[in-house]
Amino acid sequence: VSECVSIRGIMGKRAENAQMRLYHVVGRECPSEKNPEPKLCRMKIFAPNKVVARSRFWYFMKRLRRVKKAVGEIVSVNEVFDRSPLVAKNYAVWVRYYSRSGQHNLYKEFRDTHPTGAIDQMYADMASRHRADFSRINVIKASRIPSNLCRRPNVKQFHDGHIKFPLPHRIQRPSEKKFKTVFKASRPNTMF
Amino acid sequence: EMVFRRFVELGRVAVVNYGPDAGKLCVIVDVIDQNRALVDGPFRETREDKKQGKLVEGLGMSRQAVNFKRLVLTDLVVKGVGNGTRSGTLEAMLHDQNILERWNKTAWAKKLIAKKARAQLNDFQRFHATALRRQRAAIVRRKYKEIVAEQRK
Repeated sequence: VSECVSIRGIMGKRAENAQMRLYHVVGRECPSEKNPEPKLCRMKIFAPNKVVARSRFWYFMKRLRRVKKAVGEIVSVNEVFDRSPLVAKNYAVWVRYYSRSGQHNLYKEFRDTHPTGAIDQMYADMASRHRADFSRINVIKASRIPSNLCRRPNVKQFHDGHIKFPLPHRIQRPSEKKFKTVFKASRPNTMF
Repeated sequence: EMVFRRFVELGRVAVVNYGPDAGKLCVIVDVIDQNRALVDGPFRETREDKKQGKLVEGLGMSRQAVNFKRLVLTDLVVKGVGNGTRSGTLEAMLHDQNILERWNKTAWAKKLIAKKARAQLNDFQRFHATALRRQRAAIVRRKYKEIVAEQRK
């Protein structure tokens, strides 16, 4: 994929609360007499670690290609990183999820610097809006899209070269958790 | 008169007040979304500018996404920053517009330095500070008493 580099990422701080990683998992059905040279399949899997990535790979392979883990083999699992982790981008995510009464498709857009950040946002969004957790969500596709193809107004509002907004009603936070107290001597100042 | 005087905009200088980079200055280089800004120092703390033959100071923050909750906006804005501005260009802009100098002149910056200094005093220095404060208070009280005595006359 032209957007991602494998193995060695480009310098850029990973978010502290980042959960998902992007893996390219390549696998195939085991060679047999019927099929001596089976096709290799590569999937882009968003998972918290390699173990889950491999598991999800077989989950999808079984559904999409009728290949079980017992009759298949994973050739490689590589974590891949974005080529420009220090640029704000728009990500479109196509999701298939199971609700309490059926399955649905969704299209969502997120702004982030890294596709895994966008997927983290997507899972959080799905959990809050649809009460759908990791096991009920299939990511069909996640890709960076140019600004002119964005559809959601909450993403499009940031496509402004002269963006300018205040931070109204701010809440004072202690600079470290240890300075947090239940009672304070003075009332808070929300304009700073 | 605007109610808000400090805005999140490209080029706005902000102080980081939470996390491992607390206390550092940074420049808002892009807005990622409602909660996060892409921010840059640039990273290099000091380097020698060969053309000018002097030490050029950067702000010590590498380019990264920072939540607005961790930032406090200042009055300074670096002019000419666009959302594609690179670290090198930003460094040059900081230098040309004397951002660090202008920041160091502000009362806010001076207070931050004083706070840091005060936190690093040893016991004797703290005693010394108290003694000086007592002396100053004595002078002020003496003067005040003189003024009150004169007014009574």
